[in-house]
Amino acid sequence: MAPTKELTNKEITAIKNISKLFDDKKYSKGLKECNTILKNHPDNPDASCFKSLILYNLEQQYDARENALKTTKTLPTNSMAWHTLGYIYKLDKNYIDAATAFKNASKFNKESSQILKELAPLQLYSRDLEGLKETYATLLKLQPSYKPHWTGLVTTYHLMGQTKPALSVFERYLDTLEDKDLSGVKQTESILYRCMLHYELEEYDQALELLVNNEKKIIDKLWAISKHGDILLKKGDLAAAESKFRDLIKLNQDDLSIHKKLWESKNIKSLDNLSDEEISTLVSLYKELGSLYPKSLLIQKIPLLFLKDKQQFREHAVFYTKNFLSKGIPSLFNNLKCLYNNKEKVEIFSQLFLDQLQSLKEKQQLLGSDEKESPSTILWCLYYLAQHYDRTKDFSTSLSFINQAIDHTPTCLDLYVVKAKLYKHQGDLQKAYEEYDRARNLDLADRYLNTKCALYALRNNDPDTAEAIFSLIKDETQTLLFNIQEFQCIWYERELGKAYLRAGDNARAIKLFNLVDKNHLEYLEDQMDFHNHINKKLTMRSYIEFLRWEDQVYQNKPYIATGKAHVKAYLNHQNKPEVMAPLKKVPAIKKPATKPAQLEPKKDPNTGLTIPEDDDLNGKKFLVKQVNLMDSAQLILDNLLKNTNDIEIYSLACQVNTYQKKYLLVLKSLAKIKSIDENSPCYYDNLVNLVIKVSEDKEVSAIVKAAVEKQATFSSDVDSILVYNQTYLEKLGDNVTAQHRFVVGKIIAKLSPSSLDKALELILNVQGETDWKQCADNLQSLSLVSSELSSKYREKLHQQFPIANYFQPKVEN
Amino acid sequence: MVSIRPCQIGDLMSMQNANLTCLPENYQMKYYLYHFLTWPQTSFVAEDDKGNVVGYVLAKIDENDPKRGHITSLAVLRSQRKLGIATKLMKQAEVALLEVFDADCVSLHVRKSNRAAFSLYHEVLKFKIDEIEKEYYGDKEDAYSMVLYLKPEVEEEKEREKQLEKINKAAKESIEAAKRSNEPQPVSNVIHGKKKNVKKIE
Amino acid sequence: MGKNLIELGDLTDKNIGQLVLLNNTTLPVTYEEKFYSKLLSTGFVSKLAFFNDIMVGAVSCRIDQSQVEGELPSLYIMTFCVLAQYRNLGIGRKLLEFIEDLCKTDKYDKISLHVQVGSDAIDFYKKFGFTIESTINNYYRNIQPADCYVMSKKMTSTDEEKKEDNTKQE
Repeated sequence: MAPTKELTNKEITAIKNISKLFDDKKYSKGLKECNTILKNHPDNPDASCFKSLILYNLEQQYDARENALKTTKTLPTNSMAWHTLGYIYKLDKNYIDAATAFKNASKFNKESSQILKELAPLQLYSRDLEGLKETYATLLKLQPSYKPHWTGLVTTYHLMGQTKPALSVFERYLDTLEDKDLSGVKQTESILYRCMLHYELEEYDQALELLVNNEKKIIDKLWAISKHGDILLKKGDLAAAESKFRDLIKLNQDDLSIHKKLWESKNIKSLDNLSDEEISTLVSLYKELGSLYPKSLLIQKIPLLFLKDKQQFREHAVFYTKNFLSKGIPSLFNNLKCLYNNKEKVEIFSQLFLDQLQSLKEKQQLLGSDEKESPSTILWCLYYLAQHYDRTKDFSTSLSFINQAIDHTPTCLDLYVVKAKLYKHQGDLQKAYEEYDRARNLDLADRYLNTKCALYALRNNDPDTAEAIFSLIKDETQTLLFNIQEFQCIWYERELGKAYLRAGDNARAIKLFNLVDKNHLEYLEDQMDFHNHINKKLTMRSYIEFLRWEDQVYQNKPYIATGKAHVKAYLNHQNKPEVMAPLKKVPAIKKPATKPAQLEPKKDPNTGLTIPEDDDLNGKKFLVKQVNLMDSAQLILDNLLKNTNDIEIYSLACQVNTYQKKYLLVLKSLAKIKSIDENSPCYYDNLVNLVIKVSEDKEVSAIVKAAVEKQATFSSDVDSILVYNQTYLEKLGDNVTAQHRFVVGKIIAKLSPSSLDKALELILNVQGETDWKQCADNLQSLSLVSSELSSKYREKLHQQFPIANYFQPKVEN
Repeated sequence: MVSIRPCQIGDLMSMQNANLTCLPENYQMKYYLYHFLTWPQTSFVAEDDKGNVVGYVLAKIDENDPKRGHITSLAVLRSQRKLGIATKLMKQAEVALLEVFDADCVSLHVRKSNRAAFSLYHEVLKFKIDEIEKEYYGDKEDAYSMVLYLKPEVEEEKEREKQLEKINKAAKESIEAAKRSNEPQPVSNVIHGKKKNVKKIE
Repeated sequence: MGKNLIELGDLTDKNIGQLVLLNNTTLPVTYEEKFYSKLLSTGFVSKLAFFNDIMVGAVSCRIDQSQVEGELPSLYIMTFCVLAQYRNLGIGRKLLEFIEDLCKTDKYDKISLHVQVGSDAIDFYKKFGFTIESTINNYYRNIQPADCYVMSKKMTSTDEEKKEDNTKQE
């Protein structure tokens, strides 16, 4: 090691000066001074670290990072070097590497609480909870009376599931450090958090004691009473529980979850398979509640959920629906939709509304009423019937009713919205868009209509029109993509991506789906902003719920819907099926002629640095960078596969893993599909696909091959597969559907090109098929097997779904 | 059916979606989290059978005035109108602001042109116009700043203060006018009111 | 939200689509886009009528300056209709009352309009004190009967006119 020269006094002053220059943001000057020092003292930690920071602020992030890394290599035991590196990683939002760097910084400066304080949120982010526990233990040694260290340790224990230590540390904190005269919301929080911990530990008596002894002090009554009721339920004290839930209903009659708990306190766990006795209990309960709270719509509605007797049900339905029809409340059908799984109730609704229509036509009165109704009542009755028949899949009847409604009152917007839905359900996305646009044009000020119309345009493969509509309500000084990304408008990103996916532009589709991923990453990163905030506010219950939500941030419906399309985009890019639906060549609405003014370069609000321009507008650069498409798809699947019963997700996993030759993983997914639905045509399709791939793979091990064949119950040679295929439909018996026939036919076409007729016969037997979307997917997958078969299938689908856009005969240009 | 209940963490994404669909004032998730983590009891949602959020109220306590509640955002999907959802959400929020945070009043902003919203706040919920804030919104539209007093005694005191202010202002102006016209000054009729008890803000 | 609530509202560039639809489905004559784009400018007055929040009727008028100097302008009703299913509920009345009130506040001399011979509307206007001024043959090009009446109602009395002159002379 070269002897380190001593710093001259001048140089020591210079270093102090650099610090001041940095604070004053005089970066160029500061950099010059750093370089001067480093010329003579290349390993001087102060100059080196400041240089890294200055470079970063001069927007030379790459050089800054490299310099910081280099410094840690030349000075591996220098805490400041690691600290600087960690800080730069943090600015990059690379929190995981930042945590490692800060940990090292702490290793070489054990007395610094500052470093540990910066390390804690990073460890929390990366869920290094063991490490975080140690960090807080050390911090508590260094600063035992600093409150946030205590609450931080409590949170850590709680998040780790070590609820008992969490509780004991929290109680010790309250005893020693917390203000004795705490009052108001902070005091309530400390009581209720302890209650939450006891409850999770199933220490119901202690939890109850807290609530009862502190009843006067607790000001968050809703939570407290609810918890009180829950505890009483757990302890089996049903009468007392019922009383608590009644108290809650007094405060808010419209919370369904409270009603559910009320039923539980009557020993009724669910509304399925109610005994006659249970029904009569509920009848008298709701009679009583109905008289106490006559205005509550929810209380009026609930009997419809449990009444079994047809007469009683119908009578109550007449009573409940009267107001909706008279006052013209559009959401009646939406309100009753949940009952439509019950065939008997559907029948009753049919008859009821037809009877109401008759009564209105003849006497202008509703059933059982003497009042003369206004003309709009019959309108809403027709409106309901249109939606009713749409749900029962009787398109022509539903269309007839909505047209009658439109003849009656052509200026009522809601009618066109329903008409649009009718067409949407039948696959005529063009007409669906047109009807929705009709509604939108009647009230251009309504943002809801604007948003939904843009959605219909996207579903109609017309992104230009969607953008034109959407831009009427969006900030014109930025591009559309910037707007939707900045406000985390996930639905637009997803639907636009799906439009590109259908059109075969996988690169653009993937680019948009990546934006959804980015938004979710932003949700995760938001954790970093609240660390210090919580220390001040101490809303412990919400904080724990928040952190638990972050752990499952990818398990929400919008992400899953996007994720599935995202994986499909990778698969389509791999196997290139026929395009499902091209984008509209001529948009319905042209984008406004004026271009937005020169867009200002965007700055990151946290660092103040410029966000670079997007240089990959069509997503092609990103796609080219993917080393292995299926590995990229797997990353998305990893999130989707957590905690799911969605057959489609497992099916996608099968396809991806088959490409990756991870056959045992495919078997795992297949087993899952079978456990959810053993007759799933999806299961059979993926199974046979696996067997075929295994038979073609020369490098597959004998063990794996044997495992696959065992699962299949047939060998992986073509003849065996075809033999089994022949018997598959017979084995299903009455459970055979058009989809089963399709899969079997497709397999024949794939493996036995000489038997195309046989394949065709099965594929074209679409009797009983009502799901045009499934058929559109089938068409795509069939195109990979035989284009001749797929065009014949398309013709058949056109007959089965005459107005669905995707199956219209292709116009030859 | 629509169920009205306190906002939970799992609702925030759905609320954000409802907000983007219905209103021009949009926020990033961070802002929703800020409300949930600071004043978790004051926000409520309306959800349908499938668990979709069809309406919400996002409320908070004014950062500069711990006695003043504020409605950050309120929206109900157009398809669920006429059910009184907005009213129910607001009433739950008002109760929470009063009971949990001891708020004296709750304020909000509404676009001058939004007659439907204005009539909800003014006629149904009994908010009063406090002042007009010029060009309050991003598109330069004016806003009514409205307020509802949750405690009648505080409202009375505020009214009295307002009256005093008016009278003092008028008196001052007449003195100024007199000075300018060189007329003999009237005896000071500025009324001195009681000094406010300034409570310490925690 | 009461039942059978009739409310009047303003015409804006955002809801004008409803007026177009109303007129197209109710009136025998179809108007071009040019007609509607003028409605929002000065010199025109329009009002929409809502029944339980659905737009079911509307009136649109043109302000005609008088040819004679010093005389007050008049209102000419260009379109006035209520959806068929919502007639006899007082909606037409409310719209016409609005127009008449406007004449009083903004000082319009009279209201006039053309109405197809044989139309139900004739009795409606007569009930409100309109009289038939004259008949025009072959006024309409594409519908039968092609003849129409010119109906009008004077809104300012001759006494009021004298008062106007008197105050001017003072």
